[in-house]
This record gives sequence, C-alpha cells and structure tokens, in this order.
Amino acid sequence: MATRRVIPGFGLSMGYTLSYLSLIVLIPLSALVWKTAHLHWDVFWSTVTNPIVMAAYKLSFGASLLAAAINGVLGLMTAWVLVRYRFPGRRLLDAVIDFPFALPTAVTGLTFSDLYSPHGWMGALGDHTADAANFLLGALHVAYRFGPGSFAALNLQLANTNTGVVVVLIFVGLPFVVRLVQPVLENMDVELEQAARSLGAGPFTTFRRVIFPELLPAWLSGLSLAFARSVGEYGSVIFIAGNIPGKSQIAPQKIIDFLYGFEAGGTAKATAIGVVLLSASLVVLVLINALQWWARRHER
Amino acid sequence: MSVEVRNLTKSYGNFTAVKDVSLVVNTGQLVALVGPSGSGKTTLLRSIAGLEQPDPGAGTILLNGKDVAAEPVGRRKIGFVFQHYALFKHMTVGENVAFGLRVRPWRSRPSRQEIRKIVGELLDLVQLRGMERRYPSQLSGGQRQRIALARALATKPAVLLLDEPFGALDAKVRRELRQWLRQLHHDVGVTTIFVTHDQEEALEVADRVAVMNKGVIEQIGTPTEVYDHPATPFVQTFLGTVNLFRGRIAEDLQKSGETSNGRDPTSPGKATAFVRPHDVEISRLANGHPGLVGEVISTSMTGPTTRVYLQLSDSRELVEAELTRNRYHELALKIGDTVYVSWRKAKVFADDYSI
Repeated sequence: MATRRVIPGFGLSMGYTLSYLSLIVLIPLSALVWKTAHLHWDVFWSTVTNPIVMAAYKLSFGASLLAAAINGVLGLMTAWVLVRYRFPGRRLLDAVIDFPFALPTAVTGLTFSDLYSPHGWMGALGDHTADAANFLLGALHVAYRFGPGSFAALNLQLANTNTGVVVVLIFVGLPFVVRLVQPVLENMDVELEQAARSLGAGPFTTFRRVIFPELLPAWLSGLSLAFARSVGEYGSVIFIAGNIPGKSQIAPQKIIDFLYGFEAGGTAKATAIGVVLLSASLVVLVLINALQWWARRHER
Repeated sequence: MSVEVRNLTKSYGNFTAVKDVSLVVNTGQLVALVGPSGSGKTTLLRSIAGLEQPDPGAGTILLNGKDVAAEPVGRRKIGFVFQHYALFKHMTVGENVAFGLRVRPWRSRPSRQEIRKIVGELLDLVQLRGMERRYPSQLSGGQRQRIALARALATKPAVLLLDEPFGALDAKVRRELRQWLRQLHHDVGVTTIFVTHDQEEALEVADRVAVMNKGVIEQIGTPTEVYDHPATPFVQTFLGTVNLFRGRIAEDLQKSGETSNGRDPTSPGKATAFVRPHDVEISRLANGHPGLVGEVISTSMTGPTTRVYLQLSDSRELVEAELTRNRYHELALKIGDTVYVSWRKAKVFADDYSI
C-alpha cells in the first residue's frame, strides 16, 4: 500500500471486519435462506401466500409504514423543538426520547395493552372524564349529572385493535427519526435561512426549499430504520394486537405459530415467512437508499 | 439608494456591540466598515440588513430616506453576502442564483425563460458562465463567493451588503477578487457597504472607509484622508504598522499635529509621535539633525522592500523601518551596526489619548 494510514494493517483489519460481519450477519441470514430451501417450491408458495399469512403481512407492513410516516412528521417536529428552542425541561425531554430504546419490548407491550384496555386510563378515558365532571358538579352543588355514556367517544379502547398496533409502533420508532435529524439540524448553518430570507423567501418557502432538503437524507434514514424495526417488532406489539388469524395477526406471530407447531409444517415454514419479511424489508431499504443517493447527489 | 443610520445602539446582554453610531452612505458609493474583531462592524451591517434588531428606541435606519424599522429583511431591497457564502448545497449554481426570483409570488415572478436569461447574464457578470449545472461543492472558494454575489444581485437589490466577503479565501484570490469587486461596483453602480478586518482591503477597494473601534466609528473619510490624516491614535495604528516615539514635544507641533523631521522635542507637554515604517530614515552619519541613535537588531526582505528592526540606545524601544532595496544596499547595514534614526513625516498626538 503506497499511502500510509493512521491504523496500519489493511489486510488484518479487513479480514477481521469480514469474518466478524459473516459471523454476526451473513451466516444467520444464509442459514435462514438455506433452511427455507428445504421446502418444496409448492409448499413454500402455498405457505407464504396463504390468505391468513397474507393478512398478517398486510397488517405488519401497513402498520409499520403508517407508523413510520407519522413518526416522520412527529419526529421532525420533536427534533426541531429540541434544537431550536430553549425551555425549562428541555434536557429531560431530550432524555425521554431514548425511552422506547431502553424499555424492554415486553414492558412496552404490557403498558400499552393495559392503558388502552376497557378498564385502562386511556381505554376508559370517557368514563373517567364523566366521573370527574360529576364529582366537580357535586362539589359545586349542581344537581345535574352526566350519564355513564356521555363521553363514550373518549374511551380509547385500542387494545386488540390494529389502530393499537400502529400506536405502539409509533412509540417504538420515534427515537430513530428524532436522533438522526437532530444532529443535522444542530449543525445547520443559520446563515442559510438568513440568506433565503434576505432573498425574499417566506418562512414556509425557506423551510420547504432550504431547510428540509438539507435534512432529507437523515430524515429518510430515520424513516427506514423506524420502518425496519417496526416490521420485525414482536414483544411490544403482541399484547395489543388482536391476534385473530386473517384479521389482526401480525406476521412475526405467524412465524411463532409455525415454529411451535400450532400448525403442521414446522421450522421450514416459519423460515419461509422470515425470508419473505427479510426480502420485503430489503426492498424497502434499497428503495430508501436509492432515494437518499438521489438526495445527496450534490455531494458527489 | 442611500443608506442612513441615525444613533444606532445594539447590545447583547451587558455587551454593547454598537454605541450610538451614525453613518450616511450616498447612492452608488462603495463604503468599507473596517475594524478589529469585536468592533461592531458586522453588527452594524446586519442591523442595516434587518438581520439584527437595534435596541428598542435606540436608532433609526433609513433606506432612501424611509424608516425601515418595520420592514423584514426580505422586503428591504438589500442583497446580503455572507463570509462563508451560505450557498444552498443541494441546489445547482443556476438554482442558487435563481432562488430569489423563483420564490417570488407568481404574479411578480419572471417566466422560466426570463429567469434563465437573467441567470446567464449574472453568471457572465461574475465570470462563471457555463457553471449552471455544477453544485457548490464542485467550486473553489473564490468561485463560490462570486456565485453568492450573483445570487444576491439577482433580485436587483438597491443596496449590496457584504460581510467579510473575502475573509475565508487565501491571499492571492483575495487580491484578485478585490480588484474584481471594485470593477463590478463600477459596472453595476449599486450602493455597497462591505465589512472587513483587513485595512489594506478597505483602503484599496472603498470610496470611503469607516474605521470602527469598540462599537463606535472613529473616523470616516476617503482612503487618503484616513491614512494620511488619521483623526485618532487608534486609526493611525490600525491602518498600518507605526513606530511610537514618546517624548516631549513643542506645543505648536502638538496643535498642528504634524511634524516633518526628528527635531529634539524641547517644549513641555508629553506627546507621542506616530511614524510609519516607510517614513523612517536611517543614515550612517549624523547629518546635522540631532537624530536618535539606534542599533540594527535584524533585517528581513519582504519582496520589493526590506524591513530593518532597530533598538534605540536611550529608550531601548524597538523601531521598524522600511527601506527600498536600493537604499538598503547603499547603506550596507549589518546586524550590530550603530545608525542614526530620523523621520520624514510623523503624526503627533498629545498623551491624553489612549489606544
């Protein structure tokens, strides 16, 4: 090697990197594909296109996409608030963003399914509101009382619903967008905005044409990571998902079903679904990478 | 368009960046705000642009005689050029230059063809024709700054404000761009105010120079005025190297503020004589004038001239002299030689001034 590097031994470090990568990433992935290859093509095809499995894909991918999209907006706003404003409790809020990373997924799942169950805080929010209002009316010596169903619309009973799945996935994916956008926003030169303003651009135009394009690559990375994480999410989703086959069952649950023999077919069928999930995630990641490549075209 | 600043004050917390400054720039003039860092020059420029707000009730900014306090930066008809270009990285050169036209409301927005034509003309003006499709990252620093200038000119501003426009460039490019800016100003004729910490740049480029120090304008005038007739010791020292000869000086000299040679000061009243290195004379022999005696400490060649550093034998102070190469060879100075020092021209300030 003609040029001298800071760290010597290209051969050694490259070899180490490759073997490490193989051990941790490549070998398990090929094993997955290899195991699936044991299935006869017809069996594979009927397994992965079974209507119940198809419904599970639909829920998993649909909910993940929706959650990622909502996180794209919410995460961007959160990052903006954290970077651009100074307010009491900012550091605390900043630390709270990492919570979904730190919380064991089963704890997340339990918390959410309980909150949104018919007796939970959110699930019975309307009833609690009626109770509180009646208590206040009593204290004020007003004779009127709200009936038990007055605020039924506020009863957010999302446990065992697909909406509940999306809510949990928003929680799980939030840190990705925030944490990726935040540093870019922090390092962004305020002079860019001032230049745009001095050239006559309004606040919205400045955001759309100057600020957002600068954030786009990081924002897309955040979206793709949140999406990838959501597709594979099991622990946090399984408690709130309805788990009715063909209706509210998530794709990872199908893998578990096959794996533990609740249906005939076993491990190979489970891996077949795994391969489909893997390929789909791969396609999405490649698409987003292509988009990023386009967004970074000016850096080449 | 003329620019007038009246009694402007701007503070950040306890620090007053600009103190009660007034300034008038006539239509078509090219004015330099020069001063050391922290002298308030950039704050003054940004206040004119509307990027900073003056302290409440402290100062008025008039553009063409009209108070612009309520006008945001985008409506002041100014073009602003930043030290670090502030080009939009994700846009091509053409898109950058066209930005100010494209963001206009559609009624006043020129058509695509017109925009393309204007961009082409501006790129001609900044001598970067054919670069439309490049991205800023593919350009050199000097080219980027010229694009930033073209972008600022695209909206046909009535005033061009430049904040240390050549501050981030290397010496050679700076010198080229100075000349070019001078020429550009001549061609376009737009009222221009630019900020620099480089006194040479200010003197070379501007019609008028405002020297700032600690939030106030110490002097404003043509380059010749401020260089040859500095109003304060600060202006004198800031606009180039000077030697300080402290001593007592004749009262008439104090009043006139000028002296022509190194006569021994005799009258009461302490004063300091400021002498530019190129006004210091060195001779081998005492030539009649009772000059000062010094020893050659070191010499250094700087292109067309040679610098000689001397130490005065009575006060032990150091003196810098700038000699032409011919004179230097004539004298054949060696380190350790004892010589006589006098000056052709000095500016005298009584010692109640502080620098």
